[in-house]
Amino acid sequence: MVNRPRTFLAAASAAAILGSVFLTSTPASATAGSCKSGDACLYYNSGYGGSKYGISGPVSDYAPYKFKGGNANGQRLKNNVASVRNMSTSLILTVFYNNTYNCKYACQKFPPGSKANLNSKMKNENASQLMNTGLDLSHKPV
Amino acid sequence: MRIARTVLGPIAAFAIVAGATACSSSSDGGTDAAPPSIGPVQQLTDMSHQALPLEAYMLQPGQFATIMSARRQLVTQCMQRFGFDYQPATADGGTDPTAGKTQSQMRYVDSSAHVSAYGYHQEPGVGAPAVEPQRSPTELAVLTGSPDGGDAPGQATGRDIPEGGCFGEVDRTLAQRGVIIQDDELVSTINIEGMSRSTQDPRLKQAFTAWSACMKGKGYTYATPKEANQDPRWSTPTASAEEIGTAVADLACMTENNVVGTWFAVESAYQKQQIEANFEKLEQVRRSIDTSIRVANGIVAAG
Repeated sequence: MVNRPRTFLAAASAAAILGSVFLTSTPASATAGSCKSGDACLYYNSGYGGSKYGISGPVSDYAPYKFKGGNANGQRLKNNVASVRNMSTSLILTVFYNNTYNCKYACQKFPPGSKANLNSKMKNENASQLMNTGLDLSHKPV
Repeated sequence: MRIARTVLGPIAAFAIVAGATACSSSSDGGTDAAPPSIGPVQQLTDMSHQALPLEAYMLQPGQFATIMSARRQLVTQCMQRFGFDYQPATADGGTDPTAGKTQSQMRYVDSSAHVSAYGYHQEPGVGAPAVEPQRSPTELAVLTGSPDGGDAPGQATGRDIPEGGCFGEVDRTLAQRGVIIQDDELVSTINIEGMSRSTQDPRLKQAFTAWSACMKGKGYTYATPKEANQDPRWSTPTASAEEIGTAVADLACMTENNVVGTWFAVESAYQKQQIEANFEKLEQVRRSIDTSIRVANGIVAAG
């Protein structure tokens, strides 16, 4: 259950390259160590344990953020999250494998008020997030 | 705000990593032999009528929307028991780049219309925040089980608040009825592994080499599409003329060398290998999607 730091240095350096290129959107609020209603609550460990970070709204790149307090104190938030609680009461949270809301590789959606571990290949691969109503669909429900 | 697209960002990383981890991968179904054979390669750039084999096991955008509608309806009914009229946000601050798109439609290249207007950038408006509705502490407690996300279950309007609030109650109900609200774990794994393996495949590498020669002929020097995509000169608020010129040439060389057709064929072959190796589990996933849609449609119809 414990989140292990990534061992794939190659992927980490790719992330570092991207991070240097892209500026970051300003989230509605971001608080290391605590989560509140409306936040994406991002946990260092699986099963909603360990250090946490509450961050709401869009984040085009998690690179500037670091955990504060808990077992991952001072460690980066980007590519270091194992489980997620969507504390928005109506917005769908999407966590993206790449920066800038890019789902070319993969992304994982969390309905409002839901929680889940990141899927195993998404774990420690969180790069950006969006929070949307989910109503912006060119496809109608089936 | 810089909203650039990082189409091929992680590929170099995976080209290195996947080779080192292939032997220990949990879902590769055995030893890594020769690359899988691919069928006829179609000429492709537009993916709107194509689907990767794995997509039969992924929640499609309309299916996910149906499940969200049913879930919203059950949450509304639960809130009504406590006298609350649950109103979700109805407007987004900006567009959602994943809206209505399947994985294969997001995977390979952007449309000609997109690259000629925005280069490698996202279209304007992506990432603008939606407004989270304000709710009273009591309404929040009923919705979530606790106004601050901690653990303080209690009562509201003389009734016991369910564990995890109305969201918790509804998700237990949906789970009991066999409704999934996210893609399956195994499906997510195959999606990501198939992509990373395809970029190592000799046939795709050959296509990248041909693409690079084509770009050289147009005056652009890049070894791979990823390099063009990640050029540091593109770190401007909006796409420069130079960036748009490069992105247009990139797409032309992708088309001329049928990189997308090759990529789609190669990735499909890796996915098929995994689908065969995990056939029983994936058939269960397919049945759970069928159940989810049937139950969700029933909930929505019952009103």
